[in-house]
Amino acid sequence: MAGLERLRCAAETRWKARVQGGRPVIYVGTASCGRAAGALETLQAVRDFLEAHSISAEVVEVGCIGPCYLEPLLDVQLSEGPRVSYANVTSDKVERILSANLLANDLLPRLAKGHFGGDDFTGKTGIPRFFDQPMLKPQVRIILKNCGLIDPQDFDGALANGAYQGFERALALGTTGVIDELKEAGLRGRGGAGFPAWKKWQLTQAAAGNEKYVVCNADEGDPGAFMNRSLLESDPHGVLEGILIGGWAVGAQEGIIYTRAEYPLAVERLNTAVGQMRSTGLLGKDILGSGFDFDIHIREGAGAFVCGEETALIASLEGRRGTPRPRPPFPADHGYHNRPTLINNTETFGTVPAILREGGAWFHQYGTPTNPGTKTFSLVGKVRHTGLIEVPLGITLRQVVEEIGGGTRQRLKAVQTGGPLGGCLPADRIDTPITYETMRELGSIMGSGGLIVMDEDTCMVDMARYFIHFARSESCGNCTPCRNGTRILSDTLEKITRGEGEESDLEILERAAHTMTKTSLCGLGQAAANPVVTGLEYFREEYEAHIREKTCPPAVCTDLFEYVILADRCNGCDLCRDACKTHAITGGPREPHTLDTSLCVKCKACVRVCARRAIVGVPIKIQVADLEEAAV
Amino acid sequence: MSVNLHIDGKSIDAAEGQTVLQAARAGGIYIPTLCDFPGLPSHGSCRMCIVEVQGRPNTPTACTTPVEDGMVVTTDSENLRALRGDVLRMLLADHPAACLFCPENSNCEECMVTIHKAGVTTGCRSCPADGQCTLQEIVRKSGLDKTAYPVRYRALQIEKEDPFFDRDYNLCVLCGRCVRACETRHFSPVPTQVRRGSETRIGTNFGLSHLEAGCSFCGACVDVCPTGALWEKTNKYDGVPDGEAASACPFCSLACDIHLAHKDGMVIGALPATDSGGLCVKGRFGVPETVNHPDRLKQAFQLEDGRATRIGMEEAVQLAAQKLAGCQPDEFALAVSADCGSEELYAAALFATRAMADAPAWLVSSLPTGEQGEAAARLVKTSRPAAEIDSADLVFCLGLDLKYRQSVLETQLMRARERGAKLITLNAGEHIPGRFADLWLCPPAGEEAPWLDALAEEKPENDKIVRAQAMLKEARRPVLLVGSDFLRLFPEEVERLQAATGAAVIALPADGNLTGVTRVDPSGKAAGPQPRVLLLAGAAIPDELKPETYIIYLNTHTPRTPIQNGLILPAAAFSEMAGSLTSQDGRVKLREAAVSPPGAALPGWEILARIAREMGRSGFDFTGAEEIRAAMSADPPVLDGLTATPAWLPRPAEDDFMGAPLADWVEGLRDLTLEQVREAQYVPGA
Repeated sequence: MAGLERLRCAAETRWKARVQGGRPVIYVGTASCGRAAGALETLQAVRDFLEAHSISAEVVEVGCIGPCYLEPLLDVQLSEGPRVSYANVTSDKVERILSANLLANDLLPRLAKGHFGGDDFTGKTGIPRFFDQPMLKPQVRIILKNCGLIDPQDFDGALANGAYQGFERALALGTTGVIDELKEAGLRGRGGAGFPAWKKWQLTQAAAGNEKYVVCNADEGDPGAFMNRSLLESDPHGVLEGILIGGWAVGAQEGIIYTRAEYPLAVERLNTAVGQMRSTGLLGKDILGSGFDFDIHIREGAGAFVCGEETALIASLEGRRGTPRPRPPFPADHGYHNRPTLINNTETFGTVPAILREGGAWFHQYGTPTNPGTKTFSLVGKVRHTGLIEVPLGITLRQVVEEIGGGTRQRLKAVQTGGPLGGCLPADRIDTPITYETMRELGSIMGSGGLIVMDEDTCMVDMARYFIHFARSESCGNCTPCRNGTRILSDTLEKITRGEGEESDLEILERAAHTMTKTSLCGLGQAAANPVVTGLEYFREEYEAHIREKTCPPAVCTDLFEYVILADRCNGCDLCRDACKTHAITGGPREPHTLDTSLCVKCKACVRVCARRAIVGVPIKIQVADLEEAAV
Repeated sequence: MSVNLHIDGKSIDAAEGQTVLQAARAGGIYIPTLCDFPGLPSHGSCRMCIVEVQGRPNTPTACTTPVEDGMVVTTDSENLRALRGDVLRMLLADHPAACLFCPENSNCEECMVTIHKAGVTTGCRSCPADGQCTLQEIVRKSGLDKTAYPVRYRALQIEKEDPFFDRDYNLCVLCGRCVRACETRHFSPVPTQVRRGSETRIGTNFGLSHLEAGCSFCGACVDVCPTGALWEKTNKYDGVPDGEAASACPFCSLACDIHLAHKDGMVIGALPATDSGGLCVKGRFGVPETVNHPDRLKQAFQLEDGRATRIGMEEAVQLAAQKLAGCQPDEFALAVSADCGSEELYAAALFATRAMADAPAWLVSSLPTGEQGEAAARLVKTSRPAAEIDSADLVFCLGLDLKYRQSVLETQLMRARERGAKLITLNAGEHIPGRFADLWLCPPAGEEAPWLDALAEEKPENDKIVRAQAMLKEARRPVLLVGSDFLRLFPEEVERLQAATGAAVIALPADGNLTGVTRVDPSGKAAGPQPRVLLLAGAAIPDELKPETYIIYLNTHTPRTPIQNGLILPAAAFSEMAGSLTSQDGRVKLREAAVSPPGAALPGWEILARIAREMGRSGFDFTGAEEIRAAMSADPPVLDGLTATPAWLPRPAEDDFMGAPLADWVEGLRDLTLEQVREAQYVPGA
């Protein structure tokens, strides 16, 4: 173990030299979320600026720190003073920020989003602390501790920030000690079902056989969810350490990370990190002199949602079609190649190092007694602040949506939890604390942590149609209720959103959903109907409006409404006319516009540009007289 | 270990490792199933067999839930009935259900629509599975009368391009039986699930045709399909068979048990016997086309200078008797095919010895002539039953491709590998056992004999041969599995190898009933001049014949070469008469008559007996197969009268039957022959 101690000391020195070496340090968040917002261009602009001005500065690429809506994030740390963060720094803004900071010693306090220093700095400059922002203040960062702060490709950064301390303690505790620690922590599986992690570990440890495996489920497939991707891209060692501890505790020889080919950056960073582990003796034979042999491999899936189900994942790993099989037997007894296999979600493994490092009791203090600890969520949808968050369990949906998410612009309508298989909870249930049990009681699931916030502009029938369509295409197609049930639900919802719904369709939806939930083989089929079930429970009047009045109140289902321009609101600003690609809008300037519905394709471009909300969707009225006239 | 559980209040003892479904069935409790099939691993996909287990959430499937001690299971409740009914409704929403729910259903049944009016695709009564469909049966039992769910017709194109069976996946319920049947039988299974979600269906990898995908066409998938999705081409619209007759396959020495399905006096299918290892393509799909072929002989003909005259059977027998009565014993010879039933062989031997005063009676088989023939005959004579593969700890396949012949052995070899037996193969080309063999000895084409000899040498040079020798030496119960190809080509080399290794030999001759006459002395009256009158019973006409030779052609099908002078006598096929044959393992397999012979055709033995009686010979007054079998067991030396054939008589090729290639009659086999030619161009390692 001395080997790691020495390694860490050296790493700390090198990391310190890098980020506190007297030179200015510029941090750019280049995880996928940053890159999508243009972080690579920002990074290039930074390099170009430094070269143009012959400034010697350290450029550090960091991962995602959480508030994705602020990306690209660029932080500057001058030789004295803390790191100061600037938000939405597209490449064109780099010049201004860097020249002010590096050439004029001006921190641009009005532009700065926050700093990572002490309170005195706030007093001096008026810049708030970064973590005091409304989105970050209620959060507790355990899993994401290092995300956005360290360079995920620099092993020194991870080692200097506590990586593998948990593993060292695990070695000291012994295999049973590790499981006791997990038991004390009360960690529950973060894949969504909430099965106590220690039980899974204990079952695998106790399973007969010497050949065992650890599998990390990083096949994150929920639309709108990116917790695992962000974690793997920003702090790969945080997860790898968890897998290593798992391997040690259950007596496995090989760890496999099953991730998706759609996560190239995560795969790249994982590969780099595994290489670093191998070269420092954290993988291989006789790790740190403990007699424990272990290696980790990364396998890329082809992107099937159902492969997130553990038995389907194992089938896929074995080279077979990703189809779930009935349990029991559980993977703890018969997993990969029929050998005992510990399979956990990425986030579960990401939580383990902290528990081992700080102790189970420490972890247990967060959250509620039955739902201890923190959980990451990807907060997306119609909230002001979108991004990756980590909160103690038991926090209410209201806190998440209003405090962390900054609320919605229109009135909040529903929150969808648990990804495509979760349910839509209505605004009046927003004071529900988030726990595995409460989510289930309300007809939703915790899932792996997707949180989609919807406002008044969202049609719940359309939303259900979207999610069911997803389940329909992503079902493995093996068992009847899931394969045919999702098809039936999807076709019926499609029909309703087209305005062809019949009264009997509600019964069809209810019955098919019930049968799917009760008889499907795996979790996908059992949960796939949740969006419909909760929709019918909480938003039944919206379904009825679609079916009986053939209207879509939020004006989403394009077959059921047409746009009109309200003359009393329109000021003839021409914005909508210019935005309209089909020339359906005429009139103006300074005169109210008119919209020709026969040309309108309902692309919504005009609605988006209208500041006065003068363009509204109204139900299409088919007059009986019109029909008769047409018939004549 | 035995466990006790309660199913529907009934206390049932079950063995550990059994499923709830197995335990319930053993206890006489009915649980509806669709994807379950005897002999296939459980799948749990149709969800029909859902049950309630006390203390468990939801409703697990009985077929996948292992029994546990003290388990309390309910198989029938209001809740379960409702859920099962609804799963069935969901299934039927994706399956054409006109045969189940259409208001015109009964009218349709009476009037029987034409297939043109509404094809199978719309699912009316012209579905091939109508009346024999598991889904229909389950729906009937459940009392369901409508789906109530929005229906979808998948509009998939019916796949007809492959030989032997069509695939209409519009009728498929995705039970996965075909996939599992193929996985159980073959090392490289062909059907698999493709696409996903609601678009999931059964197909092949990369959308290849079954022929391209390497299908053996053993028909196991067709046998297990619960609906009309997979159906044999030849009996697609024949409907429910009138009955089945037990028989044995005549196309190779394994003589697998088959059931001949018949309808309206026609054989419409040959199905593997239950609990058997299945069939190969020839047995599964070859029978109906062979026995119903337009070339079947239905009456007798007299041939004078190449001109054929249709004559009555009585007249033909008289003509034959007249001709033979004037024959000296050395002017007559008889050749009988080893494909014939034991009764024909006996009658032929008896005819030559008793009616024709010990005239030569040649047994026509695929075995070679001369010393090679003697070696081959010895191998056949001393062969162990094929079932001994199951107790061997090393199987050495010599030749034996197993793709389109004897493919049932593939399953047996896979099983042997699974239980730890070693497998070596020797074959110059791509062959099925080579795919999962521990060692494939792949000599260059034409070098097989030297390799076989090298195996028997003390110190061979080739590393692979050294390895094979070491494995053979280590094995305690090794067997040499000699394919019909090596038996024909290298019998002496195989004998030497047997002597060197002491391994048991399992020989697999191509001829159906060769084992029945293994007492044939190949060195007997093989030579001899061409006779003036030649009686060919199931044998082909030799190419080099003196033009004046009078041929009495007794066969099921018209001759492939024209006859100048002689008689053609129509014989009944194996499916049209009671009879027997002796399979490779020495068992006498009885055959029932499935249908009556066409036209004037009669069993071969009866025609011979009539001629003999007409000639005034005694001892030919038997009237049925049973009488002949009784006579055979009482008088065994009669068969000794059969001897090996002279060189000028053509030997049947591997896939010949009754004097002609099987592919002449079975269209699909021609496609397979082409496929083999195509494959032969690929030689691994070359």
